[in-house]
Amino acid sequence: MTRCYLSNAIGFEKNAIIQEDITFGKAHYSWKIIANLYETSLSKMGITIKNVKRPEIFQTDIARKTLDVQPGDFHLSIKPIEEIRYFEGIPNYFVCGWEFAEYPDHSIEGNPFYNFQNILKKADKILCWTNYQAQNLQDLNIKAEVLPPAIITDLPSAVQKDSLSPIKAWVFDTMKKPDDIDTVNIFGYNFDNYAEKIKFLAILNPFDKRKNFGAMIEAFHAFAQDRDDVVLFVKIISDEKRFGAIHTNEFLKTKCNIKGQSDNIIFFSDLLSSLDMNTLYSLVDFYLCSSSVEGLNLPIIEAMRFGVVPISTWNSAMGTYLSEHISYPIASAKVRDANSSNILSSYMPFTHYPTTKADVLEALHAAYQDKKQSPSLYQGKSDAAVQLVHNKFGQEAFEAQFHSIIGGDLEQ
Amino acid sequence: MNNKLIFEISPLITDKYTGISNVVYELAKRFLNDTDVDVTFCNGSQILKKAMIQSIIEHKSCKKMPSHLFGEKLNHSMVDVPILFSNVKNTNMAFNNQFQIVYDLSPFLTPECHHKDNVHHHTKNFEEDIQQCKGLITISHSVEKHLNTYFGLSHIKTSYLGIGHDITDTEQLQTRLDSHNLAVEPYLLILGTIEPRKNISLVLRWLQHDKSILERYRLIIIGNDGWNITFQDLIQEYGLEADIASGRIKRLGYIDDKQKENIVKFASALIFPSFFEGFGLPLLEAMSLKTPVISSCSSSLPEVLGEHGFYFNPECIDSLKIAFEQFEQKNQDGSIESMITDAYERSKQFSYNQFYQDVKNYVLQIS
Repeated sequence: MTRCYLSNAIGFEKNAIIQEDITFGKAHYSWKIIANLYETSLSKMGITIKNVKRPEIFQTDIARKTLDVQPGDFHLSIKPIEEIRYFEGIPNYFVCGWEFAEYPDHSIEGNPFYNFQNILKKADKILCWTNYQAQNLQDLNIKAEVLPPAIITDLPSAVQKDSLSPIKAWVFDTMKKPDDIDTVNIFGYNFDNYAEKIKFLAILNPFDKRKNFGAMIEAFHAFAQDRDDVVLFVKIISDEKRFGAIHTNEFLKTKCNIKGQSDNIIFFSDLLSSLDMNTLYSLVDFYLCSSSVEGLNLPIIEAMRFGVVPISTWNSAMGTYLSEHISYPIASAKVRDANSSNILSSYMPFTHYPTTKADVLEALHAAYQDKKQSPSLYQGKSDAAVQLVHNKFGQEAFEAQFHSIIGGDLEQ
Repeated sequence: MNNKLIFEISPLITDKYTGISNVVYELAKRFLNDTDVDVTFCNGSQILKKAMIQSIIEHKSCKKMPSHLFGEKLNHSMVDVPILFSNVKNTNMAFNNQFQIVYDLSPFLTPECHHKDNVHHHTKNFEEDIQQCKGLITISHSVEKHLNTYFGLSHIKTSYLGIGHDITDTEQLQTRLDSHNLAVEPYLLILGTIEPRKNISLVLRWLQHDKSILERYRLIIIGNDGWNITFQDLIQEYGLEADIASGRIKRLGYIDDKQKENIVKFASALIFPSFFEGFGLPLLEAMSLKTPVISSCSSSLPEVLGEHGFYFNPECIDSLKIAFEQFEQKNQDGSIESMITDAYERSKQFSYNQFYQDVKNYVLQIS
């Protein structure tokens, strides 16, 4: 039986003595979600998962025997490139979700793990989330394959139609005095208040400059001023657990220089259960994404699975799966500079695709118009989105790709 | 004496020698008495007179550095003389025949086990320094492989030269014990600084889960206080306060070499749970003292112990449990004796004299 030694421990997680894992609200949490998806995808194929925190320490035959490594076993590393370590003596497959076209080819500040090209070249196969990474690597003469995890791992049957658990939320308001505390409302149980509205959803970390949070909010604020039949729900993902009402509006006011108030822009930051997330996806019409660069963009794919139509930039990873058949494009301009909001930006320029308020607003208008005036056009995109996720990110697709890319290695 | 060499000995400038300073001590001792090579000793760029090195060797400690034992500073007339850095390079001077001993890449591979400042100190200039070397000496294949994997050193010669041990009087120890008619209560031994990389928590958690172990054996822990964790906190975390109070778990802190040898010699087994090592001297010492070893299978440790011990995965308590059961089984049926003998024979393959000769030849030949 094939077994996968899966390494996804990051930083302090590698100390077996510390039983604390990276959870919601901590840096790198998204890697945990992706690792879980790969684990589920492989388990469904009958592959046994064995977690290993420090693959680099099992360097000898004795070590591998102690670990009970068998012929046919392989190592799958799912973590940021600088955290990847090599497992000697078995095939190494490194997952790559790097969101930029540039891959450093030298150590940074003396750290060899930031020599991304050297690290990735140690892999027997590089498994990219999308063809965007694979193409970027091929441009650097590094061979890479495309094997995203299955994002549809079960049927979305568990949906509570028109009923969400109560969620603490607050509205966009940067006009208050600094000392005023935002009113925290509850939505969810009264979600049908929004039944007649066209509902937009965004899921993002506002601190992450790549998300263009300011441009998104400013555009939607302008968009909502002319009409009262739209509402934007923004699910805040933050490494800082306490990021809440005050922080969101203060951030928009001081960091994004936005003034305004709208009851139709609603923020919430609590962790939602899978059931509530599925329900939320099933209740909204559009997914709004103004990112300047992404490695995969899992929330947009999850939303599409429920027929939510993306209004999104088509750059980077999104460029490999979004098209006019399923989404509305937000224009963005290619630049290569030090403002890409990446931890390595101060050492080298990276390519990214920032967008503007005007670009987002234009896309919102186009989507709104279709939804109001050409429902069949909207429905066609919605159906195509569901189909695309099934074809590209379903379990069947994963298994077919896995056999094609890795199967031969394991049979040898 | 045509051969000249500069030996940088900064790890010796400390009062208590462990790990790296012990290795440098053994080299310095031999360089000092070697009539084939004219060795200049230095700490950074400060030359140290041989009288000072003799004092260090004699006391195996360096608490003070009297300035009258300082020589001149290294200068540009010496840039062609081969220089061996016994650890990280700690001078800005450039040399044409530079060599460095690399003990492990722990600051790179286990940064979560160290202070951030310490990681920065050891990693900041490391790559630049080794790129300037004509040769690198590693003390295990493990280190050599990690160097090549992560630093891509195709143009620099790296060489594995296994270090040794300095235990010579094992028979005397036994005689001493016999002459006092001492009976030794069974105890398990852990050697190592109290710090996360040494992974003592794995053993403590195992004992927490199976208190019967402490009914059969005491646990003796020898090692300095380290960083990031404290022994007291660990004992509290694993609820072992009563076992400390009753003496079933005993911490001795730092002790001198002879005391340590005695304690190793009469231990039922050495347990070595480390996450990561560049070599594994405690294993070698235990092997040479005919003490069974229950060891983590990490990094270089199997290179030292070979097939002559009981291995476990340092990430897994169940794995330690199985290794310990195997130890007890072999202990009961007597088959452990051949394993001990084989380990003892293997330990003879590791010698500081050989290490010294290999280092000297390597540096002088390449330069």
